[in-house]
Amino acid sequence: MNIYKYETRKKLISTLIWIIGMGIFIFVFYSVFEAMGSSAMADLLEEIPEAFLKAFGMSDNFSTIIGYTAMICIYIVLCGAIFSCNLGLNAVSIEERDLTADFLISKPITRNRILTTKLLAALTHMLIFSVLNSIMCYMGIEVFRNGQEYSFLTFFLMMLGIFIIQVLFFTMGLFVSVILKKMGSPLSFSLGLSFGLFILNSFDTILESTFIKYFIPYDYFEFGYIIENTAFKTYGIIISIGLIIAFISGSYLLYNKRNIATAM
Amino acid sequence: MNIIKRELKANLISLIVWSIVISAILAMAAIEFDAFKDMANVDEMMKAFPQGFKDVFSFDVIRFDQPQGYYSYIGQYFMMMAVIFATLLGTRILSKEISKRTAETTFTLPVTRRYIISMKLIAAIILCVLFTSIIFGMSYAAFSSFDIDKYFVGRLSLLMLFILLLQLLFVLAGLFASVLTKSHKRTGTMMTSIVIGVYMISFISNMSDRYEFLKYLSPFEYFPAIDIMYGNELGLYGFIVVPLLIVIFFFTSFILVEKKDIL
Repeated sequence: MNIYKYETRKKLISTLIWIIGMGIFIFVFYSVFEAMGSSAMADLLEEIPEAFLKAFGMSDNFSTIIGYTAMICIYIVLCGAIFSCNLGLNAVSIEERDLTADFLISKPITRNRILTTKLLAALTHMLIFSVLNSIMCYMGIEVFRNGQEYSFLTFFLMMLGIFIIQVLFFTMGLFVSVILKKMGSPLSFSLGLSFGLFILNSFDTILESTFIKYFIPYDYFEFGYIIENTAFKTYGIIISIGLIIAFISGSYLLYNKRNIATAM
Repeated sequence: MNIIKRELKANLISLIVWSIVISAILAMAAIEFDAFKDMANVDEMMKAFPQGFKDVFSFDVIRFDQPQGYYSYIGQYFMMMAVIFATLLGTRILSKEISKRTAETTFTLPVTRRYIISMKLIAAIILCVLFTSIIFGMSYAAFSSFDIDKYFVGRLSLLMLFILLLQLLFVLAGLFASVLTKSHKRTGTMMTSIVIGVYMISFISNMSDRYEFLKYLSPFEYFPAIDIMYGNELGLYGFIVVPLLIVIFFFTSFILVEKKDIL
């Protein structure tokens, strides 16, 4: 419990800074909704090739408030991925980098216990991040929708999808940090991973036709699909949950055998 | 000289990883552009978008069926990647030595502090030049199969020069931040967040006239890739602010580093 408290408190400020940044971004984005939406939009979107629109992350009809939310969510999911991947990469590796690992390991608790508490602390942070983001998006929708109807379930599924992607990126980061002997610069790694996959995701022309799409977490919960079907892609949810379980169990296995670097 | 060699060697792997990423992106971009270039009446379609939209993505200026139009769109991503790379290099000059506790060794070498910092700075600049050369070379290779003319190549090299200028600015900004700060473990994270924040600001400033004033806050907007690729006139503002900031960061860092308490 002490570790959990310590971990949660230590990262609270950085999470809050993230949230404030996200809040400004979400507000600004919604505030120009009126200028974006127009009734001719729906016709227009039918004429333009899908591949082209996807390249700019706007395959959805953003004259509707929910389609517009989907467009904003593309950026939210990117930020969420960077945030979570960073948490995952740092969770255990920071102890070794700061040479505090031997102190922590010598406490009368098992390594499994350490990993579990750190996992729970990170999960708390991701929950705070997701819930506050969802509330801000919800407020944005309610303030700027101009009486448009939308399906709350779709909105909820989108937010849930973002949360699952975050957990996936977190476990991926954790697993990578346990595999590597030394984690030198977690930030460049998480930025590279999240941004790289993000850019890959925007090259839709190549993506849809090949098996590469199974490697891109952003595609598992594609918002256009959620809006259309009010459901997740089946293969997306199966792969992501499978990967999360695999990464977590892999991390437990490897962390127990890990040769902890000490100051000596 | 030894310091430069040591620094170049230490950053080699990260440079290689970056260039692999850049090549992958460019290879994909080439395939995507190949699809765009044969698309009928792209120009007509672009004009049909609502005005708010055209402003954000510059759809009224960019022609995606032309190489320079397409490149001006992906060029801004390279600009951002190059700047992040440079910022991290800049913060590492001092912060890495201190947080890794190698500062004790480095700063007891029989050379002055300023000498060490300037050698490391030169190494960082060499890496930045290599980075932009890689982008240039890869871009040229990726687009050479399309009918690009001298004009495109000239514009592309000009864009690289501006990217280099921004990299120089951010290397020095990183150095400046690490001279000022006390928590050296966080300098990299802090500066990268600032860079991403600044990028977001330039994104927002394009969204609506209401937020247009924000563009003066973001160096990414001083030399927009679109204007460079199309040969439009660039605002004078950037040409004053960027060199000024470079000079300020350079001199204040070099003055303050002499007095800094290195633990």
